Amino acid sequence: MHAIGTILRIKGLSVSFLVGRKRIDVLDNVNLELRKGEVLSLVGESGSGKSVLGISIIRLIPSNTSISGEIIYKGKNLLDLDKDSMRKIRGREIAWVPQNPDTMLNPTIRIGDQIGEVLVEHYGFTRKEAWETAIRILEDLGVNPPDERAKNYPHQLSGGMKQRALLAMGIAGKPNVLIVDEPTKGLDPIMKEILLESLKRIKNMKDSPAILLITHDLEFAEKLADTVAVMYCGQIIEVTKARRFFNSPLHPYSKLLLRALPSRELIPIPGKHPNIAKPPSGCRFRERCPYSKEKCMNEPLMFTLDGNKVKCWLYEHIRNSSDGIIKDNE
Amino acid sequence: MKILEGISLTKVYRSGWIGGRKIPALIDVTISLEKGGSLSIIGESGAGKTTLAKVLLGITTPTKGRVIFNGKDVTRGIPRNLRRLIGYIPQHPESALDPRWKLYDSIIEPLRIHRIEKRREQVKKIIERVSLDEDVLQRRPHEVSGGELQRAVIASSLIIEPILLICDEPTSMLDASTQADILRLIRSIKEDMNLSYLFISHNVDVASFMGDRIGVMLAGRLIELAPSRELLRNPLHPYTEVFINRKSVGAGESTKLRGCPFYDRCPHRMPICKKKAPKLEKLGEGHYIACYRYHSED
Repeated sequence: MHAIGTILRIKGLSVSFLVGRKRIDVLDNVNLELRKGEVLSLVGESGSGKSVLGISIIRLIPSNTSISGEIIYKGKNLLDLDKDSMRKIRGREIAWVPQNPDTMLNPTIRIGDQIGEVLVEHYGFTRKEAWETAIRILEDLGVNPPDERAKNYPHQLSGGMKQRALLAMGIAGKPNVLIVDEPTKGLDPIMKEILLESLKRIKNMKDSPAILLITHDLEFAEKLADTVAVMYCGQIIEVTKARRFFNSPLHPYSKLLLRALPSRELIPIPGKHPNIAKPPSGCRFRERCPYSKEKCMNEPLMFTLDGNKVKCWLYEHIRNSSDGIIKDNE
Repeated sequence: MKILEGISLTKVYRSGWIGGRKIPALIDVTISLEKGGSLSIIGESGAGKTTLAKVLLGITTPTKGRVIFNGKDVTRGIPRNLRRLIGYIPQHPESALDPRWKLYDSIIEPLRIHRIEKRREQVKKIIERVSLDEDVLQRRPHEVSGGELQRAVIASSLIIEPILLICDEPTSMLDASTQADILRLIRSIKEDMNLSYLFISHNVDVASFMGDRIGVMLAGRLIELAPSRELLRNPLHPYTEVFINRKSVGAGESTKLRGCPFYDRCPHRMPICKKKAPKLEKLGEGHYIACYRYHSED
């Protein structure tokens, strides 16, 4: 079943790393949909598997990985494509903005040339045309003065500016999907505000890409997201409209996570995030959950409530309501 | 009684050919911390927060000004017998620990440096206090989570039983829940061990949770200082207001010696602001501010 306007659909995605003889399941049966023009924020603690989902979509995962499920883009399963077809999609149709600009920018090439590279590579621009386009993109992102910044090398820029240079590289190829991984890491509040401004500009562009914003910074996600997906220990446990999520989220984990924020109560979630190599049986949050009951020993189904989804037995009662339920693998 | 005082601290770094270019990182900053008190310092990157911490810790000597710790002038470096009374918690715990060592060895390292004899039970008690599991202690830094690493660093700074802690954004790289956990840990340790601390942060909510008072830094200067609740409810400096309400007013400025550091972005600027930087002066009960809107030129 395809929802209207869905541009990317992840179905039953599981990813495992093979470490020596051990097999570690990093993502477990992930289902997610990204709609045209929307910002979907994927939130969760470090080690929950968020970034792995991002690099799985553009198939940049290391070779010791086994991957199953489907990632459907324009009717094709990206996991079936050969290297050359994937290269044509990567950067041009689906772009990825990595975390950590310090290691991802080439220190020996001017920012303008790095931004224009995708245009030379994929669209047959000359270097001069690409340079001029790069300056226009920086200008669109609110960088001032754009021509000066384009001439800079990465070491001459602040952390926030480098992050915006990466964003410019991401949107240079006019992708349909933009995956942004932890853009606010290590930025101070004023830099975050400037970056937020740039991301809002992308969101308001004509033919703006759908954005998958991977972050553990919930306060940043709140300002940008249309929908929030929560990842816990390799599973998606909630997908909710952003407004609802930040007022009254569904999953107990989400409630406790919001309560831990400095702008709220700063109360930590009891217990520890489980080791992803040895996830608990049944509901993976049950050992830390204040609502935990007998039933939680079994893995919860994904229930829907007003179009939002939650993987928790607390919502079992809505089985009888008009909303009904959908199972994880439906 | 004051445990720590920095008086008119100025630090100028030199760079370029034979140090021809001067970069002021700290300009005329005066702060003090009462015994048993807590002070937060907020500001954007490059405001001079970490330089202030380094000068107070005796890691760098100030170009001008004095540092008084526990009644003694320690401007030119802190003697070992006093140094063991100060603990330091850095922003990046991963670079504070030796990657080849097991966490346990890093935690007890300060005992060796300061030649302190300590019984195993005492060490165990401190490790229990920061809630580190026994098996984690036998691992190396790359094998544990960010939160566990930061707990190990905290244990290592507490093992010498300091009377003062200097925390430099210790939770800015952690998840929300782990951050809440570590912040509460530091606060409760302060109560049980009768510590004082200086807490550097760039998050206003974290700063007010951690400090009785908050100092705001901008471009190397301390521009406002007030009790936390008062500062949040009634920020007076135009920059503080922007920072607290997270409004965007363009990028930060580089430090300069003349004029108010907020001049270029300030909606209330006056001709005098460009000529001479305002001094930090007392306005109300415990509320200090450096702005010509609130006091005249002299």
